[in-house]
Amino acid sequence: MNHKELQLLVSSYLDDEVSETDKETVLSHIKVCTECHEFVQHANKIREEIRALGEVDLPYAFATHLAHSVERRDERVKEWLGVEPLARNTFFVLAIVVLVIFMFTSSVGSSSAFTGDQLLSGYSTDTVSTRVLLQQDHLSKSDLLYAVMTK
Amino acid sequence: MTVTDDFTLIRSIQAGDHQAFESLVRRYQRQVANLIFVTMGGRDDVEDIAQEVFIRVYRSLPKFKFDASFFSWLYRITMNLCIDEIRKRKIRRVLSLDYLTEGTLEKSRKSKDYTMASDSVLIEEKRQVIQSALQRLTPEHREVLVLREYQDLSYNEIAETLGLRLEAVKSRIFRARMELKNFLSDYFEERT
Repeated sequence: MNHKELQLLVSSYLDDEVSETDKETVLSHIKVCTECHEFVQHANKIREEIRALGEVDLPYAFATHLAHSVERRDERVKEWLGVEPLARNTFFVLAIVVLVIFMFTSSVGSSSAFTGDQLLSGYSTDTVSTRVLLQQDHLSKSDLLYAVMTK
Repeated sequence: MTVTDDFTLIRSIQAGDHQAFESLVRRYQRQVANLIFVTMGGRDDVEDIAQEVFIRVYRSLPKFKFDASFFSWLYRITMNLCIDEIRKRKIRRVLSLDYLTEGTLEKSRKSKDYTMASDSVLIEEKRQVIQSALQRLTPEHREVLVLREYQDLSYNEIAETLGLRLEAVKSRIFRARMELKNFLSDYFEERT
């Protein structure tokens, strides 16, 4: 066993985590090794100092208060999900209706938007005229007649 | 207190039993408070952080898998919250220039003078030295040492809590002791 392994064993010995055989090995080693002997002394002092830091505890009522606050929170969630379903559902339906109306008006608004240049150049705003000018492949005779009469 | 007891309580909490949650909190509140105390280096905010820990535990309990001990899970949550808090404090300290003002320094000097007169100064100084030495350790070293020396956990319990092999625990504890010995060597020499 090299010194590094012995040092590890010494540290484990301090925590009573070694076998009886290893315990004897450690005890005979620290008698002859100054470094390990000093390590044991320091480690014991450190343990003493850490344990002397004292302990803190929370008030006994801590758990009760916490459990109550958690219970109140759960009750609020249950109320929201169970006792007022009508209000909740109405809210969601209204929100969806408003959203649909908004989407519809914005899409209509964007498709019918004409620029000043288009109007000045005589660009037509009615559907049939637009089809005459832009989509001639879908043009019927009645479309053409309607366009001539209305222009 | 056994793992089975914890699991029984957790199952009751999952079924909506708030009394079971109260029992679980009461069972671990001391250990959590002490972990926060040692990790944060003081008693301030121990209760606030502990409250946050248990609220987070309550919220996460529906996702709890019964494949590890409750304590190791609780330990992770506590340590993560402490680390977040330490980070926040560091940011606040950098942002606040208040502690550099002459008034604050004067106040600090006066408070030291006053404390020097008190008999408890040595105890408080010792506590601060140990706490700051623990704070200087790497997080890996600090956690094994706190679990071993302060929480008095066995190597097997530490291995389970931290998800490490037994050999890794042994070696980490040894290295942590060496590191702390180096930090505190001057302090121990002064005292002898």
